[in-house]
Amino acid sequence: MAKREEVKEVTTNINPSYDWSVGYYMERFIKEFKSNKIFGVRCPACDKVYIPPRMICEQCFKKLSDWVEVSSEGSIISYTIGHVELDNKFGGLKEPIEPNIIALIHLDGSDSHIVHQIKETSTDEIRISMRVKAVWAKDPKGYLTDLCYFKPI
Amino acid sequence: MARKVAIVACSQLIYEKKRNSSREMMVYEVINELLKNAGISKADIDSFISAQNDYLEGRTISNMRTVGPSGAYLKDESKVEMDGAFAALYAYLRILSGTHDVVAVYGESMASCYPPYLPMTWTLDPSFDRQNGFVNEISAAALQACSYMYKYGITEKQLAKVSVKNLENATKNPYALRKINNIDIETVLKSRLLYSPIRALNAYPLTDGACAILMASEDKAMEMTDKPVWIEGVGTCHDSYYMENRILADCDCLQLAAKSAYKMAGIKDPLKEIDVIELHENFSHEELIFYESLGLCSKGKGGEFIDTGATLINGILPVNPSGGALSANPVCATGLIRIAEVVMQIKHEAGEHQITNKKEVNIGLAHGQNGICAQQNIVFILKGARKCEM
Repeated sequence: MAKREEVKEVTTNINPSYDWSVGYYMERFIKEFKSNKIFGVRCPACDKVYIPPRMICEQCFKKLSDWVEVSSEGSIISYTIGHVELDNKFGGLKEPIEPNIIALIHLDGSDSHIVHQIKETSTDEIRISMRVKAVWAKDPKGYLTDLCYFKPI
Repeated sequence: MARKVAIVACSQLIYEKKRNSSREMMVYEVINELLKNAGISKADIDSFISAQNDYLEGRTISNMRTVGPSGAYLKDESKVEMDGAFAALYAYLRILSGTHDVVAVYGESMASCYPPYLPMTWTLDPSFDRQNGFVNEISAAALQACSYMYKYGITEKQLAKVSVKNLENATKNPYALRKINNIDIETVLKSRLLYSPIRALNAYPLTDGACAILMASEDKAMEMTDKPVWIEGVGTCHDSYYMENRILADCDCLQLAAKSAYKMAGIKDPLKEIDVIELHENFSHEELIFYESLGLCSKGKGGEFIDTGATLINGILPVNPSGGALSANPVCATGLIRIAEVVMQIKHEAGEHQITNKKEVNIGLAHGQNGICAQQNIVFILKGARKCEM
């Protein structure tokens, strides 16, 4: 922890580890990354395709089960250039090594968005509606980290 | 016929970056201040509702340790892990139900204690956003701001105007943490860039603080004060947990919450009928979006609306005369502060930041929110004694 004054403050580190089951839907979503595929589920009532796949369409209150592959390409809906980043250990903000572009991305064939990072572009070039595509790990293992980032097409 | 419920007193402590006392003493002090302001003793209170959060306290069932300091010892007590305005709703419902007559509500947290910004990331989907690490409350707010500005042609200057207005108002508020004399648009546009377009002065300051209000049934309220402030309407609404599934440029769930509150209070034209608004704006663009959701202007016109000067402290509808959450944001207390500030304005007890350009401040709106990009919203309509027939 950062420097603490003696006596006046005590530092307690709570460091529990939780094992969440991601559920069958997220499991399949993540496993499909191994073959560089992005899957969503379609709502039988409103036809919306959700990625990551959700079990329930909140709007229709229907269970979703119709799996569809969506494109690894899409458009930037919104973006931000991170001139800071979160200190994941102590909280607060710290300087990043370089500004990080984070975007809300709409993948073709889906009806929801995902937040991911954009690389291989500059902070001057980035803009809304820019076309981007997924960049996958060289040796995908079926992990979330197989989807490395998105880059302009 | 439903019971009538009034807010009879409120109390705040000076908001600080790092309060030189324990959280328990902070609660003790804010409750004592409340008792003093209400002119009662703790024996007169039936029930205590707090707003606090286990992750912010680093302790599970965090209210267990504030039973003593709050005065709830051997009394009815409960809490919400949410914004303080939701604790006020809980207290309101207890009084409406007839099981309790006098309820103290308090909200508190100390950002100097918990690891700043991390607790909000612990609200995220553990199977995706939390693993990826791109979303936090500021980056999410930036994505929302960018989306809103793009959709409606809102400028960074218009965002800065919110900060200028609120932080200027804060210089008159003795409780406010962030006060900047002679602040102008340039000051905001030159402040540290966090996540574009959000700069340091577009974002709330990390705050230690507490706020409390006392609520009572009509008969008890009339015994305690000659200036009761009545709860005339309330509405809440919850949007999707996934910000990726929401239309971030519009805050439809606040619109729905306001609609319920307006209906209950009989408000038809909020811009004409409401005298003061206190918003829980964590970031300056939120205030512009909220103007639209509350029906003060049409969708996309939040920027033009602030340009008119309508929401200045001497405008036709002052918003955040206290300085709002941009001037102090003790998480879990912030929405409660909005209620307290509206009550102070209606009672004409706001001191230097009292609205003075109106004949009377009689109807006020207080807003609270929870979650990434204001996922959940609550709106209270409060009314002074002068026109309180129902």
